Amino acid sequence: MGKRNNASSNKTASASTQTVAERAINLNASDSNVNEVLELLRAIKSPTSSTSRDAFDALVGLERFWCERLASGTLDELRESRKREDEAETPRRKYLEWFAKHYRTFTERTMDVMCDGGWDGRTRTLALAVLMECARCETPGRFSNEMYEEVVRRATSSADWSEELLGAMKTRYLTRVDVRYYTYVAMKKIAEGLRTYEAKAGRASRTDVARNVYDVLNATPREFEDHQSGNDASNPRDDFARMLAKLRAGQDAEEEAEKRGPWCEDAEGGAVDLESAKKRRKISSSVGASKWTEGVRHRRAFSEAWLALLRAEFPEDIYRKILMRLHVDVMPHMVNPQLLSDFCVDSIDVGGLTGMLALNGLFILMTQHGLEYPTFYNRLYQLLDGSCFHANHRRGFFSLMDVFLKSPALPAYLVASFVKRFARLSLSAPPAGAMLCVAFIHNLIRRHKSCAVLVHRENAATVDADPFDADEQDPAKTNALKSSVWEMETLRAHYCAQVPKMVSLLERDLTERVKTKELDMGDLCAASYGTLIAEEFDVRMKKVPLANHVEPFTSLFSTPEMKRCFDTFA
Amino acid sequence: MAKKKKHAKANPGSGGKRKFFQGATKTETETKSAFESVSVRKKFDILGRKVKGERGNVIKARTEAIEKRRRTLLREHEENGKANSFVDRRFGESDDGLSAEDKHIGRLAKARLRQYKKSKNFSLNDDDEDGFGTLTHLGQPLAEGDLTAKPNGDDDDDDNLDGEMTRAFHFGGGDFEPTLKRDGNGHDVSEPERRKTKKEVMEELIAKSKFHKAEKQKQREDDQYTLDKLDADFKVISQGGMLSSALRKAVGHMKPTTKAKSNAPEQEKDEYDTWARTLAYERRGQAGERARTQEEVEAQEKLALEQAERKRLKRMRGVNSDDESSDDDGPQGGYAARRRKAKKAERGDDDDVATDDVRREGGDDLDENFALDSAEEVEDEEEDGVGSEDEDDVSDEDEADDDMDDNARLRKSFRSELKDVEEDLDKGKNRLRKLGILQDGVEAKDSEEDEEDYEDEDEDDKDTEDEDEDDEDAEDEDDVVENDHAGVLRELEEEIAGNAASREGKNPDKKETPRHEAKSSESMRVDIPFTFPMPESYEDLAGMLGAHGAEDTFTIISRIRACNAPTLAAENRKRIQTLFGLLLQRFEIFAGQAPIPTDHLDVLSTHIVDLSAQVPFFAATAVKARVEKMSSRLRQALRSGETGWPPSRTVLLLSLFAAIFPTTDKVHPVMSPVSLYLGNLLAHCAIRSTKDAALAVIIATMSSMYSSASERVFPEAVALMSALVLSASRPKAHWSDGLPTHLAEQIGGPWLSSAINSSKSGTLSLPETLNGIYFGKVSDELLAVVTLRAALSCLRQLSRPVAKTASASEILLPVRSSVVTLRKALKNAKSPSAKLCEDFMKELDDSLSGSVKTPLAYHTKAAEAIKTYNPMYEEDGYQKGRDYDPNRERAEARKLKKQLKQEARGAMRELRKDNRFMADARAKEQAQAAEERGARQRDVLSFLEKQESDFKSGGQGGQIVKNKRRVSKGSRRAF
Repeated sequence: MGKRNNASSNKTASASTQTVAERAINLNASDSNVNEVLELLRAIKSPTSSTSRDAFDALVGLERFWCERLASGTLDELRESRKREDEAETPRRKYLEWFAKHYRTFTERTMDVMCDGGWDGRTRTLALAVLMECARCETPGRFSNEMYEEVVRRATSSADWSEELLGAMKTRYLTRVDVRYYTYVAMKKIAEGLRTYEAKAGRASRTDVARNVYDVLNATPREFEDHQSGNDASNPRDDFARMLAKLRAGQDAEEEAEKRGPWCEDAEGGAVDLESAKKRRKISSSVGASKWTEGVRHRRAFSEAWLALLRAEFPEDIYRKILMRLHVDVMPHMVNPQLLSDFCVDSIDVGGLTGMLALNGLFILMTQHGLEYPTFYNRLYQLLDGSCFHANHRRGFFSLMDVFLKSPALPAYLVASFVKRFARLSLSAPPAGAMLCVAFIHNLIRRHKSCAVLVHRENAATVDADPFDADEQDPAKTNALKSSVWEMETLRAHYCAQVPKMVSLLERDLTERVKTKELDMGDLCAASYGTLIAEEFDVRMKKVPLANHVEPFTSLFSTPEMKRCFDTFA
Repeated sequence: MAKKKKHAKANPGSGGKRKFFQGATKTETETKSAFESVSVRKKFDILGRKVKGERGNVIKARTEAIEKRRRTLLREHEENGKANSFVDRRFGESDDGLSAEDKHIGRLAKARLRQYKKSKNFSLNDDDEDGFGTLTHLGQPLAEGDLTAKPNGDDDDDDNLDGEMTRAFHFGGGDFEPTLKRDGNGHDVSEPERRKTKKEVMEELIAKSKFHKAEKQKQREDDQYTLDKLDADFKVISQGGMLSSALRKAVGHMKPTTKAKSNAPEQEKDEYDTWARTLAYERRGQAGERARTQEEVEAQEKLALEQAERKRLKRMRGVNSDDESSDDDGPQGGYAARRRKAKKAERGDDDDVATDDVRREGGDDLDENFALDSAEEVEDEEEDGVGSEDEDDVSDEDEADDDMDDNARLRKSFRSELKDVEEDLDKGKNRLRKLGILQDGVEAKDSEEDEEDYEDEDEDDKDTEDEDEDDEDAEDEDDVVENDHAGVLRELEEEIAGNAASREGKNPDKKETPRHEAKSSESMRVDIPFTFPMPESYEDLAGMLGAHGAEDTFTIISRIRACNAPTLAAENRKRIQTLFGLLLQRFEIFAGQAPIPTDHLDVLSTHIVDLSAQVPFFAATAVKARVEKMSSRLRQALRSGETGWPPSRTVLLLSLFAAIFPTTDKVHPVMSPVSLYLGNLLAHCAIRSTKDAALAVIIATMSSMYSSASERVFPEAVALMSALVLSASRPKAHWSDGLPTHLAEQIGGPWLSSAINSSKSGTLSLPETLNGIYFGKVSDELLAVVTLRAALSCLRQLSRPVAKTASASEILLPVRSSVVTLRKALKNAKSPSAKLCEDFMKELDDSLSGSVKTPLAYHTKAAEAIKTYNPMYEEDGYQKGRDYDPNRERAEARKLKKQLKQEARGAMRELRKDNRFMADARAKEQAQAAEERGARQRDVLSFLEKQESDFKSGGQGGQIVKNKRRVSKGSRRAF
């Protein structure tokens, strides 16, 4: 190890036999070795010229060096000395200027380390930690949001944004109440800047940035309580609860609880001494409550960040992910969820799978937030097509469909159109889908007496073709009420025996509400080939009929069907 | 009396018989006064009508009511205001009718009785001075009886007393006259002969029965002992040769003297003896079923075929699929099967063979050869020229039989005769063994069993012998037939001893049937042995089959099966199951080989199909397990983003399943999941190459195989094939025009478009296609051409059942349009594909044109009968007071109301009467009080008057002579 380090330092630090680790130790051992900083900064310059181990050591050493000095207010001192013009030439002033300049270089380089895919994951994660530490210490007692914003901006727009970084961020920093708040603010700014964003070399493309922003936003825990600093212990109930939790889960619970506090007040987290921490605390209390302590501000920042993201361009996969979780993750935490209406309506207008997914959010908006959407059922009607039965999210879609169609106040023409649509779709649907269609038809006809003509029309004249217009997109003009569900007759010949069985349920007089029962859609929505096959296998074998061959069976390859298809082409 | 009447009143509606009796007693004992009885004036006397209160004694009722009030109300009134509740219970205290003397006597009696009751339990030796509790005997006090006069030895020692003594000196007897028993106090007399308690009676009963049982047991033991002894004696005698001489003598009596005197060797005698005995027990020959004529056989076959078809259709329609009565196809498990088996056994062998024949007409079942009972019959049929035409194995046998020369046939018949002789002999010997006459070391069969299961054993014997017959046929055809008796005997013994061994097939060349010789005659190799043990593992099987060709494999498997036919041994069924599993395994392995070994697979599948008839449940379970695995593998592949098309093994297995099980059943434990699996493949597997497309067509063909025979619709297959055809006819850039999005995604490209302009017109058979798909032996272009044609043909097959359904046009119009587009795109108008397109279009047009739809009418109910309101006739006629209201509730309510009213009225009446009574009582009381007061006043007044007169008369008691008259006058006046 030592040998390798020697070799590397030989390469990096010219004419010096000291390893990076030794230099780092020297730097922090006494104030006189400040010039080691330059050597160490060289070690983190680029992944091609130094090993990651050296960079790691250098980062650790430099972090300690800067953070200690920052925490003791060196930068403040510089600011004050700049006000006083007279001190321009004092050595202290010179040192301070040097300090500030190299501090900037240090942060720049560390950000590069963080963003550059050339470094290994561990070093990059460390770089992130170092930066976070700096953000905390830059102005003692205050979280440096400018710095943090820069970090996040660089991170999300880097071409080599990695899962590891996101994971580190999620577990270590996004749980902190202040970091969370500034994350929202930063994300909002980044998302707003996406429109004018231009990808340069080494930067991520616009869609990737959007993807990263989504990832970060998604990884941020959604907690919007007001933060009370310091007075947690005053509540005996909480105190006791914490004690219980500690007793139950051991040390972890305690640590977990600690990690939820604000990052800038976390004394144990970094390489700073207790003294400065105390000082910081004093300062923060004198400054007054920061923005991030208020839950309402949090919420607002959250809303704005999300809205900014939704307004920006983002790729299809993210679109689907957002739509899928919108009603769970975003909508309940928004200050004003109605602002999402446009987004949802636009999504449903896209149709297809996107439209299906948008239904979830739209449903919440309509039922809980008073959104009015007059052509909703027309949209729903258009959404219903053959690919619904093959989509992965069909279960959610159909259970929502069931909810929407439950209303007894729907007009007959609409219900009839839906019935006919389901019937048409059942012709080409897989068995589970066909059963689902029949169940929908059954329930709809049972709910709406006036649609019973679809299954029962007395003394009607025969027709040449189905009056129903399947291509019409407006359910009011489909002529569905003049039709009949002949498709059900075809389904009686379905190869899967459960489908005809289901169809036979329609033969009962569904207008007699006492004697009939609505079918439960829950299981049917979840049905698939797998469940159907499993069901078939669960049936106990009572008897096994065997094939009776009229001619003795001799060859596997000469069955009449096979012959017809491959030999005779009849 | 009064009580009785009340009772009668309480339930006036009870049975007439009782009333009659009561009426009778009343008329006898009760008042005859017309004044006392209630009289109801009836306007019309109606027979059978009952009027309430018609009969009754007014006076009595009134008296009773008053009496009751006196007891209750009046008493209450009297005790009103009194605090204590002392009740005088002294005898007769409340009874005014008793005189004081009677009262005393009564009280005394009561006191005595009480004392007696109290002391009764303990007063045996108590000398009551009253003599009340004194013990008596026969009505006389014990103390003064002359019992003491008798000699009395020892009182306590009961053991020494005999019955006489007991009778004399105990209470049980004595020399008193029996007449005495009846006078005196009854209880004293009955004591010596007290009734036995139930327990004692039962104990006695039990003891008796035990005793009898023991007796019987003893008797039996004695008998047994005697029997044993006799047997032993007999053995001694018979061993000494005395019996044979005696028997000879005895037989000699019955026989012609010449024979008796003939000096035959002893053994012959012995044999004759056996014969004689055997004949007595021999089963009479019974008339067998006559040989069936050609017509009959054919008719029966036709009938069986029709029956099978009917059953198949029934299952296809899915009606009453659980109907037990409809299934006797193939061996099934469960109770029903057992019952059926039992029934079959009852019907007898011949019948069984017949049904077996019928059942197996479809599959060529090898084990028919080894259903030994039927072997003869088959031969018979052959001799009659009724060879079964469809079974190659039987015909093989036929040939084999022809091969046999006359000499062999003769030998065979002779041998069978010899068998009969042996059989009888065997029986005789067995009997002798039992008696211990013949001692050849062979265990005699148990006598009881022998007698009871006579018939069964007989059949068993026959079985084994038939088997042996077969054995010998194969074994030693060139052997000299021995009719030497001793030889036969020896053989017999050998056979008995080595029976088990020979069954297990240790005999090296056992079971070689002529059939196999014929089968393998042309390809007869020296290195194929005739017998095979059942393979236990796949390695065994692989070792046996080795690198043999398909035909040899067929022979080897046939021989394995022949050696282990389930009819031969019970455990063979299990072995057959193992074999089935192994064959299936081998099939799978072969199916994965490149190129596909068609002939091997055919051979294996033939055997697998045959075997499945013997072990249907095992087959179903094995297949099910495989389908489950396939299905889960498919789901896993789809989840991990693969196309999911199955390997060749699975494809071939699927077609094998269709050969084993019927594809037409509506619900089938195996085929239903398999068809769902096919649907899953067609719906979700993405097509990413021409090979995938070809595979999709094969799977779709398979699905048509699974569905079109029963005229079912397979939507996934129709949709995919139609889309595939459509995608072929489009230019590459717009191949997905007009396809639904999910199908476009699934198909993924114009894989078959190379077939449009191709000039190739070769054909590929299925195995070739499979080879092409899996092992790339065919160029993509040829594959595309073949695939497109197959897809068209498959689509045509799939659309046939659809055309018959109600919404055919909805499904078939898109199909038609895609075929039309394809036809337009095809440049070469004379290519087979184009011709196929045209035919298909014509067919579609024919089926779609002129179709008319009738609106559905699902809810047609059977016409409901109009409600009729016929009058309801009362059987018993109109009854007054009964509520005829049809509304039950209302009637009930009204009844209750009426009751309430009645009760209220009655209660009011009673209250009124109570009041009147109380008023009477009070008036009486007042009158009495007034009376008392008046009397007292009178006394006082008279006293005062007297005093006054005394005073006036100057103490002379009013005796003033002078004034006497005046005073008296005056006093009189004063009053």
